[in-house]
Order: sequence, then structure tokens, then C-alpha cells
Amino acid sequence: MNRLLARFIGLVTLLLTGDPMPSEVWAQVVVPDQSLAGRIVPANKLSANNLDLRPFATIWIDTASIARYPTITQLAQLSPFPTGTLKAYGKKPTIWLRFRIQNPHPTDTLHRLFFGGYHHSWGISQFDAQNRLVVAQENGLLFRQSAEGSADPFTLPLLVPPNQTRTIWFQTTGYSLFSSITPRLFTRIGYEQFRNSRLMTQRNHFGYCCSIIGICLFLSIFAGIQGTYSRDVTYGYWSLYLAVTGFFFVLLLDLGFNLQVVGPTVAALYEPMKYLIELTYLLFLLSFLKLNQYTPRLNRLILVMVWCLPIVFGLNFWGILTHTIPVINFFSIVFILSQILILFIFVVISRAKVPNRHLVITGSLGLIVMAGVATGLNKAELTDFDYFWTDPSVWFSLGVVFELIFFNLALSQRGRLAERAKQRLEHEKALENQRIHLITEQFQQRIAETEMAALRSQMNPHFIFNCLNSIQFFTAQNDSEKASDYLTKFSRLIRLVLENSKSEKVTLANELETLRLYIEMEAMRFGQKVQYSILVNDQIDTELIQIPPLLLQPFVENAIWHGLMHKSEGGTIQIHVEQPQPSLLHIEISDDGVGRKQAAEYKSKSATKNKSFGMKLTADRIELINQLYQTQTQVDILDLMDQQGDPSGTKIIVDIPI
Amino acid sequence: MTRAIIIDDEPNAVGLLALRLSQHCPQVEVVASCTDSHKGVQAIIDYYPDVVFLDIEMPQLNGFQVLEAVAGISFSLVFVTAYDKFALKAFRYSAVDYLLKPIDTQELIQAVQRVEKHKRIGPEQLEHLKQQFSNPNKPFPDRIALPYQNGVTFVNMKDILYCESDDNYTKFHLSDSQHYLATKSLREIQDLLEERDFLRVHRQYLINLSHIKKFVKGEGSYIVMSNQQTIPVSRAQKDRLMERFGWL
Repeated sequence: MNRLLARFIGLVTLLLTGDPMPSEVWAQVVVPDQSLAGRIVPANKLSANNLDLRPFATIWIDTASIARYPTITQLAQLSPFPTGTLKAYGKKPTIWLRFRIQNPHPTDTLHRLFFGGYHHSWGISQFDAQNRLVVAQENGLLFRQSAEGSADPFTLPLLVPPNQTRTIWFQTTGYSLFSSITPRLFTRIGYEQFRNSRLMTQRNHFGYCCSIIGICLFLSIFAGIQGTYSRDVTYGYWSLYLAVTGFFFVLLLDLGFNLQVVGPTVAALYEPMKYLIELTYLLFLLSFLKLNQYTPRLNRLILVMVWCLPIVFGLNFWGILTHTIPVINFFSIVFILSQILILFIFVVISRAKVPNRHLVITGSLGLIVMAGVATGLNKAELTDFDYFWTDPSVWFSLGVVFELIFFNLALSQRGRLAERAKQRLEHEKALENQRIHLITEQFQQRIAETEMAALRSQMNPHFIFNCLNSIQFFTAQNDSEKASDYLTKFSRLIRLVLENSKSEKVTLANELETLRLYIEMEAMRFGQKVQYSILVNDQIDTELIQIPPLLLQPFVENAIWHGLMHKSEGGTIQIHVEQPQPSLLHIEISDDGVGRKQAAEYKSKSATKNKSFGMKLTADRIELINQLYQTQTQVDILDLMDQQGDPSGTKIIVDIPI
Repeated sequence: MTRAIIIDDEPNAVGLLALRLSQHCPQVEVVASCTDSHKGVQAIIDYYPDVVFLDIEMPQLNGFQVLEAVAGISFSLVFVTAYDKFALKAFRYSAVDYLLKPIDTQELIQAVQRVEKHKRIGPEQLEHLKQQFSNPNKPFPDRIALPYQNGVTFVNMKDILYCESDDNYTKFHLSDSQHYLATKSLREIQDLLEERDFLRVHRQYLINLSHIKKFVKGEGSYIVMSNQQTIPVSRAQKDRLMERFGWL
């Protein structure tokens, strides 16, 4: 536990200052015995399945990187493989190791696998006894060989012909930790055992990594399905991000356990993969934050930078495949830039209006923290791969899982919000429809009511019984013809009114007939006091034009009762019907009664207030009809004056659009 | 000879009434008939008739205005109108005589007979009638005019405890222990009063439901009124009473 604590402190220091603590942290190498350094590997050791070559190695730490591979021999300043700790700062030096291996067998070639360690790049050059270069090979994560005899990036075949001695120079710059430089000589079987034992000791990692892959792939498919249902492109990006991350973990698994499930070309994707992950991650973020809605310009800017990433990815990949190493440094700069980009986006996130951004922020922060822990663990050389919790990839994947959980939460919340919003919208729409329906119903009811009222007002008992009384007079006088005549007219009037009240529109001829009959009935009651004339323009086809029923009678009634009747000698009603335009019917109802002013005086003394009911009712009806049919039926009332300026009657003008 | 004046804006109506009178009431002499309300007023002043047959809805001066114009003069009044239910109810509350158009000969004869018993319309009645006409929205008047032997008296509706049938007349029992004998049958009273809180619980009795103190159910159900008077409830009316009770 003390060891771990010390390392933890070292890690924190590293994270805070960027400088690893010098003494404890950088190298821990234990070589029990330096006495064998530089010696030819003894034959008895050669038969081992798994031989640690470090005691037999001499090392040259090329801090200035003077030597260029493979021409090393002259310049090397060799020393035994160091014990204890190695202090070094700054740029990683090139490490050269030298071994000498002799094949004692007289006839058989020695076949071994040279294991260099888990490096990005390393190489061995083999010289014969005369210092002639026999073969030079490179390998490593970066330069995977698919050459014959080399199955993975960590081993190269070693062939020593019988009775020959080989001097082997091992070189690497692409190592991460000094302690990871572990040159070994394996037999085939020995290497198999080595690999399997590693798998066994790290089976926790293995299982864990497999579950992460499973989670990622499953979530990716699930997100894809969700995206298809909800037609939200954010799910598409999320699915893509998950797929890419899952694939990355597959590569990591393959690499870490040397499973060699994926071919070398695909395995070469391991390095550039991070750009793809970043790409999909950023795309998802942008889509989730709806930046294209809120800040389209910023969105476009970020998108430009984001779409550089695939280019970078392509370049990196190509660079790896074609072994152009200097590109690596360039890429690390790019990687740093892209991290800055992510930070920038985080600033944007904190201002975004999307409701679930806190979840996304938490998830991303979690990942960053975990990645930081992983990087710290990596750099601080705390790597003890056998111990689960010091494996950086474990922390990294923990971060990934954490992030996945939070992002998923955010997405599903988003889905739920969208669902709820949609429901609310539908609910409101339904309510709106209901309201419209209700209003329409009420409206229709009102119209029906006014029609009923119009009917009742026209067929009011006063009128009916007075007419019948009049007709009875003719009967009493034995004037059966007159009685019969008026009775017929009366019946026709009632029939017309009753029928018309059922229709929304009636012909002009119909309405004029009703008017005529009505006036005739009043004329019957009052004789000379009620005279009338109805003039219709010849051009008008009264059978064709349709108007709302029971509209004109109240005006005529008004003219009679408030105009003519107040004059003892009565008067005349004139009805003119014109069609000034094809779509307009112009009707004038004029009387030569006492005029409105005097009629108002009389009305205020009336026995009841009923008589003006017809006019107001008609006004209401007209307004309703106007609303319903979107028409502009208009009524104007004019006072007629004679030469001396005295009131001489009233004129009512009704304009009906047709 | 009973002297009559007919005032109606419709000449046919005047003619018809005059004709009917001459045919069926020869004791009535129509001394004047006017289709102009001003002329009608003048005719009343000039002729001092015994009875005036008066239309209500007329231009220039309506029926009430005509009566106001001849306020000092006393005569019997018969409204002749084609008017609606509301007007008829108002007439009945004010105990004013009326005829409906088209005129029924029998009713005309009866009206003339009533006139011959010298019933004059009083100013209070007229006022009561006018009030009803000018407040068409108020469903019931607070008072009702009760015609009796020598005239017309006004009674507050809420003071009426119950009405008792007495042949063709009705005895009104009021809360202050007063009685009135109205020259109307219980049936006519019932028609008018059952609109309000009155109920005919028995062939002989019409009670004011707001004055019920107790209702005793049983073989012979009866009601105790607020003045301790017991009123029997006929079996047929018991259910109606229960209905109204629940509602009350």
C-alpha cells in the first residue's frame, strides 16, 4: 500500500505540474546480476522457452539520437543494462541494446522469436561475426509487419544458422516507459505460453474490456433503432459514436492481449482511431446541443474544424501504413489542438439552451477526468498491468462507461421531453378543435334561434288574430267572396312564412311574394290607410336570386306601424328592387309616414315594448348571416325630408350580396 | 238601453263588433265607433257611454293613454284585443274584462251581461294593469285584484292563506283573518294562482304553499295552515302535493 500511495502522490504531482517526480517515478528496473553483461548468451540458457535477455545486454542511451539505425556499431558507448532507477528528463532518448547469440548446434538452425516489448516502433539489425549486416527489421505497433515469420508487432524472427554467432542490435524510440523495454527470446511454444499466461493473469481486464465492447455495440444498435423511430439525427450520431468507440475497444483488446484477431492493416487503425472518436463525439455534441438552431454561425465554424478530423485521420492512417514516422509529432500537435477545440465547445455548451446539457457536461467531464487519470497513470509509470486498478485503460473505459450512462440519460430525457412536447401539442390541438367545434355549434344554434324568433315575430298572434277577426267581419257581412279571398291569402302567407323559415336561403320571388301578401293583409285590415307598390327591375331574374328568408318583412312592418299608421290618413309603401351589380341586390323600402323622430316619440308611450323587437332581431340576424357567410349585407336608414325640411317619411336601404 | 262606444284602429274590427252587438245584444246601442284614438277620446267625453269596447294596441294613443285622457269619467270597460297570453294574464290579475279576437259571440253576450251589472273599472285596477304591461319581464305581480259584489279590492299575494270554493264564487282567507268573497269561480282563480306557490289540494280548496305549517299523511291527509286551520287533502292531489313539497 505504501508503494501505491507513493505512486498516487507522484501521479497527482504529475497531473498538476506536468513534471514527474524524478526519483521514484521514471524507471524501476531490476537486473539481479550485471556480471553477465556483454557475454554471449550461454547455450544452456538458449534452450529456455522464455529467456530474459537483459542480463546479457549492454545498453547505449542515445540521448542526442546521434546514431541512425542501423549503422550503430562504431559510435555506441555501451554499458550494462542499468539496475535500480534511471533518471531522465525531457525528450525520450533512443535506446540501443546489444546481444550476442551463438548457435552451438552443428546442423540445426536456431529458430527463436525476439520479443522487444510493447513499443510503437523498434527494430533489430543482425550482424554476422564479420560485422556484416545480415538482416534489419523493424516492427512495432506503428509498423506492423505482415512479413512472414512475424505474427505480431512485438516479436521478430531470429534465425541463427548452425555454428554461427550473431550480434544483435535492438533499437527503439517508440517506447512509452523504460520499464517496458523487456527484450526476451522465446521459443514458439514459450511465446504461446507467455501470451496465454498474460491473458489469464489479466482475465479481469479481458472480461471488462469485452463487456465494454458489448455495451458499446449494443447501445449503438439500440440507438440506431431509436433514431429510426424518432427520426432524430442526434441518435444517428450517437449510434455512430458508440460504434466507433466499440470498435476502438476491439482494437484495444486485440492489441492489449495480442489476440491477432484483426489483421495488421485494421490494427493500424488503433492510433488514428482517436480522431474518428473525436469526430463522432463532436458531431453528436453539436447535434445534441442544437447549435445549428441556436448559433448557426458558430456551428458552421465548429463544423469546419470538425470535418478536418477525418482528413487528419486519413493522413495519420496513411502515414502509419507507409511508415512515415515524422508525421507522428505533427499529429500529436493536432491532437492537442483538437482537445482545445473540445474545451471550446464546452464553453459553448455552458451557454447552450438545451435543457439536458448538464447531463452531457457531467458525462463528458467524467470521461475527461477518467482519461486524465488514465494518462496520469500512464505517464507516471504506475503501470502494473496485473493489478486491475492501475491499468490506465481500465480507468479510461470507466470514464467511457460513465459518459455513456450520462449521455444516454440525456438522450432519453430529450426523447421524453420531445414526446411530452408532442403530446402537449396534440392535446392543445385537440382542445382547439373542440373549442372550434363548440363555437361552431353555438353559432349554428344562435342562427337557428334567431330564425325561430324571426318566424315567431312574423307570425305573432297579434297579427294572426287581427287578420282572422277582419276576415270574420266579411263573413258576418255575408261577403263570402271577400272572406274567402282574404282567407286564401292569409293561408298562403302563413304557408310561405313557415316554409321559408326552414331554409337558409329562398328565392327573391318567394320573399317578394311573402311581402306582397303581408302588405295585402295589412291593407285588408286598414283599407285606404295602407297603399303599396312593389317595383322590380325587369332585368332581375327573381326566381334565380337567393337571399336569406324573412329578412325584409320586419322593415316593411316597421314602415307600416311606425310610419303610416301614425298618420290618420295613412300612406304608401314603396318597394324598389334593383341589381346594380351582378353580385349585389339593392332594395329600397320607403314610406311617407311620420318619420323616425316622431315615431320614436310615439314608441316611448307604447303599451308594450315589443314593437321594435323586429328591427333589433333583424339586425342581429343580419350580423350572424354576415359572419356565417362572410357577406356584407348592409342596412341603411334614411330620413326623408320634404321641400320645407320637415320629415316626410323614411327610407330603408338593404344591400344584399348575392 | 246600454250605450256603448267602440274604439279600434281597424275598421273591420269595429264593424264586426258593431254587427255582432246589433245581432245578439239588441239592448246595446253603439253611439259611436272610432278608428282614431283621439276621436275616441273625444267621443267618450261627448257621449258619456255606459261601456267602452277598447283596443289596446293603437297608433297615436294606445288603449291606456285613451283611458288616462278620460280619467275622470266612469264607465264599464271591455278590452278587445288579439293580444297574447301575457296580456290576458295581466287582465286577469287586474280583474279587468276582456274579449279575444276573433270575437266569440257567447263571450260577447256574457261580457255585456256583466256590464249590465254595473261594474266599473277603478283607477287602481288600471294602474295595476299598466304596471304589468310596462314590466313584461316581471313574471307575477305582487297583488291581485279581486272583484266582489260591490267593486274590486286589491290583495297581496303573500297574504292569501287559502281559497275556498263557494258555488261559482271563491272565498279568500287572508292571514289577518279577513275574508273576501270574489265573484269568480275557484277554477278561474286556480288557473291564475297555480303558476305561483298555490296548489289545488282539494275540490274545494286552493292553498298557498308558503303558508303550510304541517302536512299530516295518512288515511285522511290534511294540512295545517299557519293560522291553525286544517285543510283536507284529497287522495288524488296528495301526490301532486308531495311533488311540490320535494321541490319546495
